[in-house]
Amino acid sequence: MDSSLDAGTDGETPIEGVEALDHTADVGIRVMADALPELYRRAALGALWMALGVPPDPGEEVRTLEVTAGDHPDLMRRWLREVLFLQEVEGFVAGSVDPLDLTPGPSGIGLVATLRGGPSPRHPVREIKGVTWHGLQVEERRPGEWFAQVIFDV
Amino acid sequence: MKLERLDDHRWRLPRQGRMRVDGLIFADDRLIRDIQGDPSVEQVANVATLPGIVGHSIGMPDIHWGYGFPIGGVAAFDPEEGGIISPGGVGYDINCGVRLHRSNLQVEEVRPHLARLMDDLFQRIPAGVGRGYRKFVLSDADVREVLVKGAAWAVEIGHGRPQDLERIEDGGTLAGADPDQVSRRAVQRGRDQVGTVGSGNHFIEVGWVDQVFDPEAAELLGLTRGTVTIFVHSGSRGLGYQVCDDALEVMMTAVGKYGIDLPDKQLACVPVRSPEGEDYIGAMRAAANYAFANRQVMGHRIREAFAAVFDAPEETLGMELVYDVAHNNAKLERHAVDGRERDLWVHRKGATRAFPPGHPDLPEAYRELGQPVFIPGDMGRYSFVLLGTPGGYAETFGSTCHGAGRRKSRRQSKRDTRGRDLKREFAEQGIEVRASSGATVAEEVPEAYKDVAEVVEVVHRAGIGRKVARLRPLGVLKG
Repeated sequence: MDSSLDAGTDGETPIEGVEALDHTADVGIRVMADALPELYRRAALGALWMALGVPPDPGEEVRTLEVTAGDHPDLMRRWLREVLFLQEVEGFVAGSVDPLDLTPGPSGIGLVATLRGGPSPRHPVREIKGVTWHGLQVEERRPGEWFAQVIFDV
Repeated sequence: MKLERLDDHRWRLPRQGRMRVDGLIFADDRLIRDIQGDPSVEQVANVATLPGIVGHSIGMPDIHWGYGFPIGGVAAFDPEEGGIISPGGVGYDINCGVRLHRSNLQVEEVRPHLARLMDDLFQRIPAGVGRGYRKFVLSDADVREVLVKGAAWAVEIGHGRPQDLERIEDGGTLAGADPDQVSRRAVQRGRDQVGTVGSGNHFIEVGWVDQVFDPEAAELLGLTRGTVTIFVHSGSRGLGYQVCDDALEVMMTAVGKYGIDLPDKQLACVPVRSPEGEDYIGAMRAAANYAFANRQVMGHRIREAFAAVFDAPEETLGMELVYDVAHNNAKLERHAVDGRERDLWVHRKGATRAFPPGHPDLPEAYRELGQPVFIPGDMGRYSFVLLGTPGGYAETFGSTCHGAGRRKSRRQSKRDTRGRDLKREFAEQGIEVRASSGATVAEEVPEAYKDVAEVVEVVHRAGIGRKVARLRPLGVLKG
């Protein structure tokens, strides 16, 4: 039995701008960034941190993701859902996300991102059933200060 | 929101605002204070606003806040009155449930072999998350069979006994499953997860009957004092989660089409009698069948493990399935409301069906006794076996509680256990733990949970479940 515990407890934040949320039954993240694309990038790494128990490692394999939604909360949910699907089903863990572009359009907001990563040497510590709408927030609190909150059903 | 105390175990939330019915929460004075510490009561009220709800919006004594619907909530909707169907009222883990096997072994016969038994189970039954644990990779055609046939599929391929099926809710197969409504992504997530426990609060537990409350019922169930038992707690895994996710996405958009005004977006729903409603029902039943198959395969492997470790045929060891019951689903059931029999969509999210003696849906063996109900506690203390009651059938659409509920967050639990050798602590209590992740064990320690005995006591005293026996853990397998 692996007796190590998740990193990130006791106030540690292993990913810049991402902190773990206390929630009785599930897990969540709060994310802060000075630009919207950076918010999405950090949120993806934060979601993988929740699944793996440690921040994801960089890798050489490249994947591209494209997601569209009507608003930013829904876009964030769909984006993280895709990132976690790659991890859960295809064993691809995104260690870095760059570039990530957001494009408003007539049918909503489009996100295109390049992910670099690969198989994780660690087994995930928890199974994320879904990215919920519960307490889901993506907002600019002050000019240049973006905030997101996401709760994952485990 | 102000609650009115009806008696020692019942609280009424009077209809107010947009509520169509009253709320009814089962709790004693102590539990109600806990319940009022989170938004559960508000969620009971929100559920009461949904179209077609009949009776009450119900909260069990283990109620706590969830996504839209509270966990530990029960609500029934009449399609004749525009009643709705809601994925949030079922939960992400469609047909998460519990099965209990009993053996002919006594606790003192098993203790000397416990470590080896737990090692064997840990080898045979994939637990945890991630690749490399998969032992059953199904083709698309196989997955389709699983979605239609449920536990019967597992028995057909030699995983279990034909007589197991009558000891599973609905015979282990929900009719009306529509695999065409299960997305490609859901199939991808579930293709290699049949026969796996999962992680989080899912487990397999070898235990024993340490206390009997109803000797006659315990005897009939094969659960006399000292009997070694095995629990399986798991559900529809990634396939079910995806079915829920897909349906929520559809209904978030469709809800406006039907003019349903929601107090909480996560109550997304559509009329039962709508294309979206019918599609979800077909997919939900398919996912439920997947969960039945999942638990059936694990039950088979448990029998194999016991046969190997005790070097005896499984039939000699007994290993009968006592029952397998869901605590996350929506079912079309006939119930009397205001003196009139009606076909209702009963949503149980973190609540267990508990049909009374005489109910025609029960297997012959339990028709006079009532339906067995299993209430797992935490991994260190105890769990309970109950039976369904006529009182419960009348008040709660034949439903009762499902567990204890957490009292600490996962992070808090890990902080509080940092530096402790949990495996050794459990071993000192005589409990062998096997887990693929120490972090999971840290999150799932007993002190992270409320005391399930309190919850069960309320259920028993309120007459919505009847205590039969208490089980204690010997070995726990976690993901």
